[in-house]
Amino acid sequence: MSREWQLTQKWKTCNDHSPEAGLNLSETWSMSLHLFSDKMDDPESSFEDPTSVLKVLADYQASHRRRTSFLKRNRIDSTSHTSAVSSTSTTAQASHTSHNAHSTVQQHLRFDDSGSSASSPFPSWGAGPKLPRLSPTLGPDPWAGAHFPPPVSQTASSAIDETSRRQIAELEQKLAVQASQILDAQTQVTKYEAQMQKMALLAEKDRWAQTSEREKRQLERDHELQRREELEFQVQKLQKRLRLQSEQDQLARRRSRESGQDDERNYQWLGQENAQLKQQALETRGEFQDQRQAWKREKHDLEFQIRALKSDLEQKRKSEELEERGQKSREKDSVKLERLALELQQSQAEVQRLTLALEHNQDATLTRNIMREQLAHYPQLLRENEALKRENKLLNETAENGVLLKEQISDLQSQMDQAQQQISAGQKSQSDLMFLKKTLQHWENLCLRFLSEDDRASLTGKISPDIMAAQIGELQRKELGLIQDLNECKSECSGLERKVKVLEDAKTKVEKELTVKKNVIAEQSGFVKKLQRKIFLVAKERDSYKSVLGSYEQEITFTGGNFERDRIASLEKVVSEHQSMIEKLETLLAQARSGSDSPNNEEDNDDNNELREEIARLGQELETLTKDLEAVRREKDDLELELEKRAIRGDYNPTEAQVLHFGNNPMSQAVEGRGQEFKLLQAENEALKARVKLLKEGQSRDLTVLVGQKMDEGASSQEVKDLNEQLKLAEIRQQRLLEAFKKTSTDFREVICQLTGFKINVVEDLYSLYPIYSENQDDHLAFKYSDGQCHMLETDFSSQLGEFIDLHLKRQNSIPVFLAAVISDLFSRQTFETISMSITTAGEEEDDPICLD
Amino acid sequence: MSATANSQLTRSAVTLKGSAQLVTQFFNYGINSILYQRGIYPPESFTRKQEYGLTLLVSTDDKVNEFLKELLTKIEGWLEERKILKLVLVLGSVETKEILERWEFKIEYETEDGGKENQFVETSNKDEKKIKAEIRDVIRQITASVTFLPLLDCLCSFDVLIYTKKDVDVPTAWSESDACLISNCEVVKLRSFSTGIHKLEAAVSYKADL
Repeated sequence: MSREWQLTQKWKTCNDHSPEAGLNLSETWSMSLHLFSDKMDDPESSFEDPTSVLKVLADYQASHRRRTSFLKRNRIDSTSHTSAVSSTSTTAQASHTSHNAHSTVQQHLRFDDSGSSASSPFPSWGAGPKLPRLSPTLGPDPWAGAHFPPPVSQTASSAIDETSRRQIAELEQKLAVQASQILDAQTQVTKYEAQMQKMALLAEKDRWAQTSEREKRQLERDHELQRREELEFQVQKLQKRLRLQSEQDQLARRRSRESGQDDERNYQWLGQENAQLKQQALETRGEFQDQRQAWKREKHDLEFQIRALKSDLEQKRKSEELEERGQKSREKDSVKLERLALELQQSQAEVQRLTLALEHNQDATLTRNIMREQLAHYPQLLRENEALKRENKLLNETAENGVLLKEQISDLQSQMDQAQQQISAGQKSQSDLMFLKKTLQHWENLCLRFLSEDDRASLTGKISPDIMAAQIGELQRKELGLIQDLNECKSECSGLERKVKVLEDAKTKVEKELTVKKNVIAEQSGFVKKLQRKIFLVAKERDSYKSVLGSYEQEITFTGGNFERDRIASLEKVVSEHQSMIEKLETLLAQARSGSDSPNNEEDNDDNNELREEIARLGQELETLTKDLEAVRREKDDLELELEKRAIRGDYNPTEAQVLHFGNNPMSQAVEGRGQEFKLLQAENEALKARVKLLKEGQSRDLTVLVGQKMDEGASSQEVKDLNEQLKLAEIRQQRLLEAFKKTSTDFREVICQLTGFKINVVEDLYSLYPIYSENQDDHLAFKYSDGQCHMLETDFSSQLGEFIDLHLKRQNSIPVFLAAVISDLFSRQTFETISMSITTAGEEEDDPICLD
Repeated sequence: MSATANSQLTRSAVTLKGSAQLVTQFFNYGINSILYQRGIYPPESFTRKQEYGLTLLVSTDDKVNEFLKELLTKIEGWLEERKILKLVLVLGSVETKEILERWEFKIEYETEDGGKENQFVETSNKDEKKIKAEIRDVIRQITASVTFLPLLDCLCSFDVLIYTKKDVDVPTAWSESDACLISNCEVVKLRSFSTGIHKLEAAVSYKADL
């Protein structure tokens, strides 16, 4: 009951605010939700049961109805109370108005309450804070402003009684108007009420439909919940299974540790199961999603309904507002509305619960997912397990090997020590090797130096010791050969020396003998001379005898043969005697010659001394000669060397060889080319010099032409020089010639003058003849020579010689005669000697008349 | 010229004629190499040619080739007739006409003169490959001698002098010359080679730097 009371209390408060129920709807919603939740908390009340909901709703409606009636009563009290409060506390004007205002308000309230009387007031209803809530509700009331007259203060009531009366009348009038208006309103209210009834009916219908729908939905929801429970059960089963599986896995793992062979089978089975589970999980998930979608759809529908209901509610509120004017119907409506709201709250609470359940479900799926992921890790774990096993085996094996390895290590360390020792030895040997290489390189270089050029050429790679050995062997052989040669030479030398000594001895002996022989020869030559003289004498004797014989023979031929014969015989005897004598002498000579070979001792002593001296001299000579020989040999060697050098340098023996070269060789060509080039360059240089000179002289135009001219001059400068010289020579010659000519010409003139008596002067072709005997020096005759003939020209002097002209020139046509006549005439004038002659000549010639004059 | 030489040398025996051809061929390449190495003609007037297993440079200058052709035909003849004693390549300054280098190739005859009738009978058993290897060495040395020879820093030209026996008729366009000796010279003997018939000794003398 206490709960019920609380509820009613709450509902009271809710309904206190009924005019602004629309504004505080949320509050009421929350309240109803609260109520629902309380109910849900109750274990006895099964929420799933729609009948219980209906019961709750019925209770709610009943309570609502009770409350509304209760509220109606309260409202009247509250309004009166509020008016009282407003008159006392809030405004000064309200306190002044008192009665009138009170009555009007009461009237007004009466209209509002539609005949409901005020009842016992609730102590809580006088509370201040509640009142201001009412005033705003009254504010917007269309009638509020119109029905409440402005309050008038009590102190002014006496003064303005009449005015109040007038006002009352006015008010009464107004009231009448208002009554009419009220009537109108009442009619409207009735209209509204009818509408409201219609609306209520509609609302009822709706509510029925809603309830039926809700029931349906409830059923569906129950069904779904059952399914969900099933599914959850399944999930739990699966989870259990998973747990079992995990346990099995653990077991299997343990077992796999024990026996790795089952692993694969288990793994396969597990894989299959896992696949099944996955499939199941997928299925469940699909189902879940379907459910979720269905719920969502439901939720949507519900929300839509809620929205519809809200709109309905609003509409209802409106109608309730109308109800407030017509309270009863409105209160009913409000109750209904409240009920609906409660229902809505309930349904919403249920929706929330469902969403919560959904969330739970989602959590379950999450955990499932996690489980699945863990399952996915399982093969990895298996693999790791296997790897670890292998590792373990390996480690076991390695542990066994470890000891062996340690032994090996100790062995190896000892080996290493040895090796290090060897390395140190090796380093030492390497350094030794380097040193040896160096020395080898030295040796090789040395060897290379020893090798001949040909060997070096034939040597392709490095110098091998074989080659060197061969070389050394060869050298040793050579050396041996040379030593042998040397020995031979030495022996030869000694032999030769010995020979030389022997020969010298022999030579001294021979020389001695030679001197002896020379003496002997000298003696013998003396003998020979004597003998020759004797032979000469004997020959002479023989000749005389022969002549005697001849004479005898002549005599015999005269005398007779016998005598002759005797004579011949005797003579022949003599001859034979002579012959024998000659033979004797010859033998003697031969004896003498042979006898000279055996000289006597005395001579020997002298000869020995001489010979010794000579030997010493010869020895000295020999020494000098050997020295000379050596010097000469050296000189010869030097000369040969020199000759060789010269041969190398290209010298040759001109008696045996000749040096030829092609005349048109590049060298000569080059030299020639250079010479030409040089000339060209020189010419160019001169041209340029000339140009420079011209430029210096200030010429700038036609330079090239001028240079060309200059060069022409310049090119013949040599010629010019030559010509100049020639010219000089010619001039000199000319001068000489002129001099000679002058001399000859003067001589010639002199001679002509002396011979003819005329001085001849020539001016061009005009010849002027000045007679030497003329008294006047200017007297002269002029002749012109042209075309091989002389023509006389007239002068002052010729005009005096008219006679001669007529006679000699015109008649005789001879100039010489004329001239001779003239000269003789002039001479005759100077001297007397010619007169006689001229007379004589004049007698013969006819020039004389002048002379005669 | 080398083709015939080769055909004759296939028997690995060298006849007098073949030997003369080998020697003239050597002269050709030797003179060309010297001309190139001593910079007598510009390097662009030379072309590469493979011979003796070396890459040799041969002049493309028409004047030089004409001169060498004329010269070498004469030399070949003289080699066959055993008339030639020496061949000297003279390098001299064009300006001063001073002789700066003499490359002397002395020729000796290793077999007895068999007269004209035996000219083609004379053979040597020396392998052609070996001969060519020797020739290659000589040419290499000629090339290498650039390192010690002084730089020819003036305009130079060359002439070839041939020392012959006295009884050689001087051909037309040829004339007697002096020996073109270098007054103050250093002599470096080079390698020699032999065909078995002709022996050739090379030497270079050059004006000592003072």
